Amino acid sequence: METKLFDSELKIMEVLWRCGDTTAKQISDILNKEVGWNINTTYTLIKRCIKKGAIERSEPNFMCHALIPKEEVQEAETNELINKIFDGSADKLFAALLNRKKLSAEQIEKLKQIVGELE
Amino acid sequence: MTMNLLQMSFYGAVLILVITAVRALAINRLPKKTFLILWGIVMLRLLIPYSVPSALSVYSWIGSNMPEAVIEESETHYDHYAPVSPTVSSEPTEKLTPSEPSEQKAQIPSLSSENNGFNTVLPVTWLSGTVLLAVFFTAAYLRCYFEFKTSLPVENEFTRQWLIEQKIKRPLSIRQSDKITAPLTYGIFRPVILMPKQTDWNNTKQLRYVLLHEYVHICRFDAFLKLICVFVLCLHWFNPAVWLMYILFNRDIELVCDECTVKNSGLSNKADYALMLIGMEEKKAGLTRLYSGFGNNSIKERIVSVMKIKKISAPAVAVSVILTVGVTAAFATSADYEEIYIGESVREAAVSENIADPTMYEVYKPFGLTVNPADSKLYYGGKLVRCFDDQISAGFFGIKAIGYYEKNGVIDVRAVRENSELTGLEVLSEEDFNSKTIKEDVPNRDTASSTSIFDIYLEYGLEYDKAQNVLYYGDDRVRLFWDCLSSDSKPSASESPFISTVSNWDEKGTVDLYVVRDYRQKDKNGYGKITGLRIAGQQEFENNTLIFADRNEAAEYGNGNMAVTVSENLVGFEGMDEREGYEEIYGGEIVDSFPFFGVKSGQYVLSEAVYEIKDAALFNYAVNWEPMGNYIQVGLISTDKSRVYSDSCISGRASGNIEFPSGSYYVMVYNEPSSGRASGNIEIPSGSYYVMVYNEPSSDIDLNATVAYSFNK
Repeated sequence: METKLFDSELKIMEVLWRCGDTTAKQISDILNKEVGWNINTTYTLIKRCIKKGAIERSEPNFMCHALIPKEEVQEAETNELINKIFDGSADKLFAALLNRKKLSAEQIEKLKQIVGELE
Repeated sequence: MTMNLLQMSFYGAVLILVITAVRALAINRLPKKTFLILWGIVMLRLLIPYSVPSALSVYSWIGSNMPEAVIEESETHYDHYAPVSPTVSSEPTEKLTPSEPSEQKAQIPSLSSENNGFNTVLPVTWLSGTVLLAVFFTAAYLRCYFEFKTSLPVENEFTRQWLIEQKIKRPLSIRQSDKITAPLTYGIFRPVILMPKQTDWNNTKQLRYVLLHEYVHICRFDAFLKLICVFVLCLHWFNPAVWLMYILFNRDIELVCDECTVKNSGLSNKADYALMLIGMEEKKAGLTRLYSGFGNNSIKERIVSVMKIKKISAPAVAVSVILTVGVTAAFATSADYEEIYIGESVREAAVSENIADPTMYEVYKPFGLTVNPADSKLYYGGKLVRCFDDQISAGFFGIKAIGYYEKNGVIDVRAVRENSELTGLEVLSEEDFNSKTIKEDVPNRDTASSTSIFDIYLEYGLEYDKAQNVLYYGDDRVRLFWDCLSSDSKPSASESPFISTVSNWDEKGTVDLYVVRDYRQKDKNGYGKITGLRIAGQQEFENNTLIFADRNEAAEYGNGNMAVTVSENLVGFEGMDEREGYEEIYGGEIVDSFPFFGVKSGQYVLSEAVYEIKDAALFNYAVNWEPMGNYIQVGLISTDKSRVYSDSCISGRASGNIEFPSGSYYVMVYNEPSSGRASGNIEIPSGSYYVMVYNEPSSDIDLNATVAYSFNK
């Protein structure tokens, strides 16, 4: 998938990542409750996602399946963040995160684990 | 008076230019709302085609640049094209002679110099411009609108709190979108403030300003005002001044909003607000200005404006009010003189003051119409012209016309145009000349204003003297007046009471008058369109005499003067009571009658009896049949079946007279197949006849009928 997903489209993906494969109708019902979109809006967005290659449609019932995993999007977004905001250097992002000083002991533990795995 | 689009556009343009000038000078000295009100007045002017005359009107002094006034077509179709001249403003009934001929010439776009295509090209161009622009705006808005729809809600303590604080009846919400870079608001019934994704929700101070600014837009229904402005722009796309207004109006909306925002957060925050304006990115999302953006292409104006906001002072308000009222009075109202000039008094003036302005009639000169310099009257071929009419339809923009009337004139002249191009002049025929009514007082005739059925003929020359109950046509007393409303049926021996006619018989009359109608052009009642009145020719006159002279006398039926041999009574007919209904129709003596039924289409029924008629006589009949709608013929058929004398009837019952010569006849009834009616006098030579009824072939319905008849001299 080449093109970037906008927030609105990501919202749709979120539902699919959360709930697995769902019908378009169900997605629109969920989003109607969550963000207040009407059914036309949701359907149009789903179609856009299909066009972008993010969702796959299957019949019956307009069943939607996420073609890209959440991790892929996260990674893409992070890379973009690093490139745009942190001059392409990941450790600056890291430092920034750490500088926020909001990490709990638990989180620090987890981080240490991840770093350990990378080595 | 009502105005056309061009006029409205022109007046609007003048108004716009004035307001722009005032705005350039005083924008920061007056409350900015003033200008919104002024723009509002302009938009009303551009939308509403009516105007109020006012002596203060600036247009009274403008004169030569005005587009042609449009006059509504009057019922008497005297339309007047009035050249615009300031000199006439003081004297409404002044003659049409202009004081400055050369200026006049320049002012009058003469009727014949219009392009051939004027009438169709311009409205079509205008309409396509309007539609195109409307489509453009709609498309642009719809594109954006969808993006707004996909916005995400904002979950934020600050926004939640802020929303509660606002007192607005309509449901307001704050959302965010990653597709915009500056805050904006959209929606009229359910307004939404849309923030860009990158909004720093922690900078509450800035947020307050931003939200407040958008909130003010919402409260003032700015989205709706912008919509109206776009609508006006679509209608008046051809007018550059209106584009100018569109730009300035949008700017002024923002300025007013800024003003309100600053006021509401305390004047001392001006600097903060201005800095914030600078700080925020001024990009607008999309081309449309239907949603109020924070950005504006005149940010400098805004900043300066914000910095110069002062407390509203009394003098400023006063000036503002005076200006508004003054400008409105001066520009929004139309010229006083115009109203009077085009209105009733001019019509009267033109009717009684028959001064021909040579320059106006210049175009007709090559066709033979001249203005006599001695008496300023129109002449054609040496004859004094009574009525002169010319008219071009200018499509959407109205009708331009000249009407001229000289009471003593002897001929009526009309301009002939092909595709609005003057091709010649036509003299109306004497008949038409006579039938054209000019409302005059006719002495000794009480043509009172109360209505009568003869009123519709008035304009064709028929006069109804109610007091004497007499009809006049010119100097002649009308004897027979005959108007067959829905088809061309003349009076004949067989009078069917069921054709719609208006008729009148006045024994003492000297002319018979027919109403001529065009039955191809039916009006809403199904009656043909009246085209005129016609005096009956000699033959018709004599026929009518025959028909009607004895109409008002008691019909004589019965054996009277006739030599009729009636053979045996009819036998073998079963069914209907032959007397049924006859007294009603006929009211007279019945010689004989017979019922018949089951007469198939194309069949005819004959009387059993044969009637030998020694002298030419009048066959008087009354027939009743069903189904109504079958055409039947009733009359006489000679015994050798070679001659038929009959009348055609349709409506289920009929009665009448048929003249026929002596002979032997059957009485017949014939079930006719075709439409149309036969009428007229039928003379029957001597012979032997059966009376016959014939059910013509094409109708599939069996005929049941009864015919009663008698023979008369």
